[in-house]
Amino acid sequence: MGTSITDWATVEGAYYVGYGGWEWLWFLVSFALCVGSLVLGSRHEKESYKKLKK
Amino acid sequence: MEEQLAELATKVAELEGLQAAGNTALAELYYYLTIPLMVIIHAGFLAYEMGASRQKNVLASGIKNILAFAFVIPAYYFIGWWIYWAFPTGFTGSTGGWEISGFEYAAFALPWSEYAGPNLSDQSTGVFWGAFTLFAATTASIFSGAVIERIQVVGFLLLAILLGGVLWTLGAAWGWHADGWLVTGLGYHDFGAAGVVHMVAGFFALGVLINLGPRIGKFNADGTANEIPGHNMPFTITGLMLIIVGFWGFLMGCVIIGGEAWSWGAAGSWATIYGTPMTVSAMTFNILMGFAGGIIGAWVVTRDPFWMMSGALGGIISCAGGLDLWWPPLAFAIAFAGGAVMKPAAVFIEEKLKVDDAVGAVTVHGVLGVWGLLAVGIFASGYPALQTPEGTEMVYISFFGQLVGAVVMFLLGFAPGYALSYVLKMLGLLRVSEEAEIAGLDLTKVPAKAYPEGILAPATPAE
Repeated sequence: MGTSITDWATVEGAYYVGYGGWEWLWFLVSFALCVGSLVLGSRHEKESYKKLKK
Repeated sequence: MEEQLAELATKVAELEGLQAAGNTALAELYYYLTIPLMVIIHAGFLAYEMGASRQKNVLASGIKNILAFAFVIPAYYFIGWWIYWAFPTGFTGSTGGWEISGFEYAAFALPWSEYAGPNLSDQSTGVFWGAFTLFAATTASIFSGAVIERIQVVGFLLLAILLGGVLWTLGAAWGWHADGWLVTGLGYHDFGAAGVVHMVAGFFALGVLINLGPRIGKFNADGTANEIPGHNMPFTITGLMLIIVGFWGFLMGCVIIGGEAWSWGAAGSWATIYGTPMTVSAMTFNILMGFAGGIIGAWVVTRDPFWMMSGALGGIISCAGGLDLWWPPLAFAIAFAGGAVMKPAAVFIEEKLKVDDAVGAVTVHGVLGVWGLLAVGIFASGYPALQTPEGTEMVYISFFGQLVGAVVMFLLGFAPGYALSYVLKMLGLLRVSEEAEIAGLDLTKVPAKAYPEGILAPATPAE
């Protein structure tokens, strides 16, 4: 991904990794990680209840 | 002579620049420090909830609390921060009188905005976002305690995300923003967030509790209630004290430091979020007097340390709406009344409404949030409610405005809490299985033990 910054003296605004085009990707990845964690958490919970029932 | 004057002007400009830089650094540091202080609130809620749980559910309660904090942070980044700036004037997304609201203005708060990350031309957004995020997490923690020992983790998290990421911040946009329609239209005044945080969270909890139902064994067949004591009262009480320590950070976050491009007034002055003048001194007087009044009021009625420490919190919440305005003895009296009414209100909710609120969250945050808002209407009517933009008419605090605000905050918390928990119940995502509730949630799903060696009883009565 890298950056086009070659000299800190010229930087005035945003300077984060992915600035200027990659924001959507990392937004979607972080969002998907949250949703995925919830799905896996729910699955773990249901399995725990089933296991206890046995 | 001209040269000397020019030199002097340069020196003055330099000094002004230094003063401005110093003020900016102070302002940023001030809000930055509210964040670790507010994290203490969560340390407190964690201890409070785990202490209020029975031994068999201690770690499951802890997991639920920690995860609420963790999921509300990205939720507030993804959507909450934008909601606060987009909707103050209502759902139209139009710009308000101060031109710091509406869809166009709120674009800076979208997660893919260049201001939502490291940016050398903007050193304050992240700090403000952080402070607001901790407010959001606080609402989720308020709700969390009420539902311990029988709610599913993921169902709970979906509810916490809705509350912390959407609902409270919508309330804040309407009633805790200088362009908020409740403020500009009705003079709604809620300095310390009695309505926008406490009421919304407290009544959200009530909506969920109705669908969730009581813990097994809470009510007898004849409708009478049993007490289900937590396993560690000292832990619970210490947790409550930690919440109060953190509240100083929470209330610090309700103050605007003057002298900045984004703030009200000159450097060295302080204002409320509505732009009305205030002093930190006023807030200090009233927080401490509210704290004391709440404890003593609860002590007189209950003699119970749990309710006394809840009274400290309830006392501050009772005074929260007008912490910038109260005469300290009046703050004490308002808090005393709040502390005194807490236990009877909790008994009413439990015995008459048959609601099992494990930590009294509906009472402490919901009921006393109402009292906090109405107290401002009763005692502080007539004060100018905000700094109005030039050319617009002044709006004043009134009982009617506070009452309408209380109704709005009640509905904003209760209705979505009831609706989403009903949907989760239909989907089988709300309540744990009966077997798991009886066996204990730690045994069922936590790969660790809270007390691997048990809690030993003393060998002799003297120990």
